[in-house]
Amino acid sequence: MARFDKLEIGSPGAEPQTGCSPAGEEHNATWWMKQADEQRRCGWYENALRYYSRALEEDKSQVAGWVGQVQMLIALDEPNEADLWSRKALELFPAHGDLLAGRAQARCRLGDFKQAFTLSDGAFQQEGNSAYRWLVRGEIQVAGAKDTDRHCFDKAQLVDADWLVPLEIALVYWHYERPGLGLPRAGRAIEAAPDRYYAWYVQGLMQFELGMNGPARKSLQMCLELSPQHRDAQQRLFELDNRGWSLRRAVRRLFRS
Amino acid sequence: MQCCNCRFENMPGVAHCGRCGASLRLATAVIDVHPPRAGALRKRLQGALPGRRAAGRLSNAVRDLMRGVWNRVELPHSLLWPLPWILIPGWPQWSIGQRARGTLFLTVWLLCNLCGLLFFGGPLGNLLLGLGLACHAGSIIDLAFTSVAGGLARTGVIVGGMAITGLLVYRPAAWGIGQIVQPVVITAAAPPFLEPNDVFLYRPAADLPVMPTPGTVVLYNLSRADVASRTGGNQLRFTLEGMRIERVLATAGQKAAFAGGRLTVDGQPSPWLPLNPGRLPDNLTFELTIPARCCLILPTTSPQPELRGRWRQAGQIPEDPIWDAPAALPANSGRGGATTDARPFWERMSVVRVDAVIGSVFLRSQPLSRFERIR
Repeated sequence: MARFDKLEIGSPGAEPQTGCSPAGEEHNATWWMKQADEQRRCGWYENALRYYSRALEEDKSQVAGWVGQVQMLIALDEPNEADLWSRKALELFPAHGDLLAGRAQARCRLGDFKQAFTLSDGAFQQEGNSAYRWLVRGEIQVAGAKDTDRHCFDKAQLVDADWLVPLEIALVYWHYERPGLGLPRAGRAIEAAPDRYYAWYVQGLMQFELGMNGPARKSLQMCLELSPQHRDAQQRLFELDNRGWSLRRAVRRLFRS
Repeated sequence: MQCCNCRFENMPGVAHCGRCGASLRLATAVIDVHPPRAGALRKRLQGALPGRRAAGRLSNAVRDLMRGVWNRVELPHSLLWPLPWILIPGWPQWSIGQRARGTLFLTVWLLCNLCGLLFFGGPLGNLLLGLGLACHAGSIIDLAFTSVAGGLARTGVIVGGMAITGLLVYRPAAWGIGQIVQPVVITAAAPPFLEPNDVFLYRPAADLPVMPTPGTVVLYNLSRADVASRTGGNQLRFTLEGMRIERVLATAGQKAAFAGGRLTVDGQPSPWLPLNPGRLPDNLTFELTIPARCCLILPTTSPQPELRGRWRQAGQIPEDPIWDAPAALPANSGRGGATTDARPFWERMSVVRVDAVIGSVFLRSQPLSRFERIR
């Protein structure tokens, strides 16, 4: 029995086999992808990026792995690298919708809104639909200070009901220093997945920035209940206990900006 | 074989998808799947800088703008940095295809600057040069609004472009022009030679020989002196100071003599006379040797004194304090204290030290009416 324990014959949850991925390696790639996704949902983007790379080592035809790498590079605040990597991925998967959206997001983070718009348009012209394309579209609107971002983000949530979508929307708002707009999205993520400590942490972060000390403390404590070793949450709680009054936070809290 | 990119069913054995072109042998291809990463130091530095997002957006906007313009212009690659586009108004518009607008900017800028230089020093010249500057700024603003997205990036391009242009174009140009020629505007009349609003251009003294030659019209500083005079039973006090424009009549070591309205230098009749010879006193007679590092300038271009109130009565204003003063002792000379110099007052004011010469005057212009070379 032990002799055949490590044989990989396939699993019920495995993705359907595609023509360009050799049999036998698919399972491993899928497993790494799942690991990467789990790490991503916990906010460990560095680990997620590593796992996406491991998945691609197993199967380079996993487009989701390439897209995930680009998304993680952006989440890790490395838009230059994300732009470069998305270009490379697009050479392998020409005109892939999500890769185009990933590149659009990277260009947007680099401040090149024109090209970001063009790439985002290109992403929508490709087959299929995804929440990520709408999320990127919304981000470009936020970056360009246009008020149609809400529609795009709502559309993203409609396309995919996963709690990660509103959380990533909240993080987009956070990136553009609009915690007041990101807070309701983080709230939706918590409604959908109250057992995910990262959602609580993101909500606490927004409340912390808005100067909502009580709710922020509650969110961060909730995060620590679910993950007692969460250092960032501990650090934020410490800052919360030791910080003084700030006019900026008061104004932000007043206008929820 | 099904393509993993577009799910198109391809014939077995083909290397690339017939629909989207994606490789069908990706799984076995040797491709590096580890993405490049930003250096830790770079990320740390970025994190330490305040407003890094804004700075990043700005730098990228400028870089993309420059790259966009670069791709369209096809300049020789030896020009590593596309400065000229900002430094010359209209060029950026040309390079992004807006030729009419670019030509308009360049033409207006050239016209304003050329006309401004023509009327250099005067209010009209200043206005035209200011318009030229505004036109250049307008070119940069137009470039920012047509090629840069985002308010902050735009502001950055505008402010940065103007700062670069000011530092690299206008500041050196102002310095260079100031080394060659400078203007002086006449505010007080000294008829018939000097009229108000006359603009004189002079070469700064750095370009002059050590000793100005006789006949040169120079701008010089009159040594400050308080003069006491008595006219019509009233005691008058004048303060002489400021810059004057006059002709150098003789230089160090020469013997100058004046009699009967004629000047002789070293015994030879001099072809030169002061700029306003009519203001010399009729009975002026002198013979003197010019000391070392001095030159002879008979001051005839001092503005006429203005008196206020009850002093403004005909006959009570002396014609020229410098020439009238010999009748009275000067109250003091220089910065306070009675002088012990026994020379007549006009003589002390006429022997000018070379150090006091500011520059040689070579052109006079009355805006929109006349230009005259000073000989």
